[in-house]
Amino acid sequence: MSDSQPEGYVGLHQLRGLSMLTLRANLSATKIKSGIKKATGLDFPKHGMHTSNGAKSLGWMSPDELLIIVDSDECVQTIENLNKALVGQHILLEDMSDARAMFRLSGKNIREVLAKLVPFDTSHSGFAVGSLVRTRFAQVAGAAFMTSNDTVELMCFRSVQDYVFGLLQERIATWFRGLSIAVSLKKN
Amino acid sequence: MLVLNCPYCGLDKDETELSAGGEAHLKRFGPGSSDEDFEGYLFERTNPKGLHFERWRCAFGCGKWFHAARCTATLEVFGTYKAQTLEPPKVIKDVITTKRPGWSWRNFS
Ligand SMILES: [Zn+2]
Repeated sequence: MSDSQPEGYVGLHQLRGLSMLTLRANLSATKIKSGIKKATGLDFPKHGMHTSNGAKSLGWMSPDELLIIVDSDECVQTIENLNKALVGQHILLEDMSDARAMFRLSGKNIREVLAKLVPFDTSHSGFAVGSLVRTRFAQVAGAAFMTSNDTVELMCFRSVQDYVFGLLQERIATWFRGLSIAVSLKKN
Repeated sequence: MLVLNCPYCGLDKDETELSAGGEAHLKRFGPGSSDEDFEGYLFERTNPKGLHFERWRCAFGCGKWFHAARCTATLEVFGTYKAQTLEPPKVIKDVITTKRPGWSWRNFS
């Protein structure tokens, strides 16, 4: 993070321009794993984790659900690659791009902010870098991606994005000093 | 506060992230069964003070249904296990036997 890093206790961005694909399949099958790796160029995530190369990421959602996040420009191509790499396998691939919204918290205090939102242990031991936890943010369902030691990305349904955005602002402003908000048009 | 470990995602889930699904290990009696069996399947539930086997769903997590063995009086959790089974696995039974010797529940002991 360079000059895009906002000042203040914690930075809050809404990430736009992302496409999300949901893949339902037996994620312990070797052919499925290797096909996904081939189609996306990313390592297959371990149980409860995600892998990423910046704009593109794979997230382990459940034993039979994988989330694939790509730049919107790459969405069509990614679907094509996946269908090609997984031909003959028992899968279901759906473009969920507009179903969800994504926020990024940045700064060294994000674990404390996160602890005000979720019921799980947000310390290093409970939520290591690379983790993906599906949980709730106050009253709505969501998922948290620990992308680095000072960034965490939060995903929720788009229908509740205003609630989550307000919630994040309120928690940061009420419990901690200072908040800066920026809306990014692209993930990077 | 009740915390159960989901055997599918492997995470400790707070009660507020779960939804309760009632008694576990029910046998379904559908069309063609006797009225008594059908009534029992629909309505008869045990409500013990002590050891109980329940269904829970990792509702805000991975979305899977799982089973939990716990004590309704002390909230002690003996263990959780996957739902693809007709009876509690031996490891769970062994834990219960250690902590509640001579236990029985429905047809299990
Ligand atoms: Zn789970």
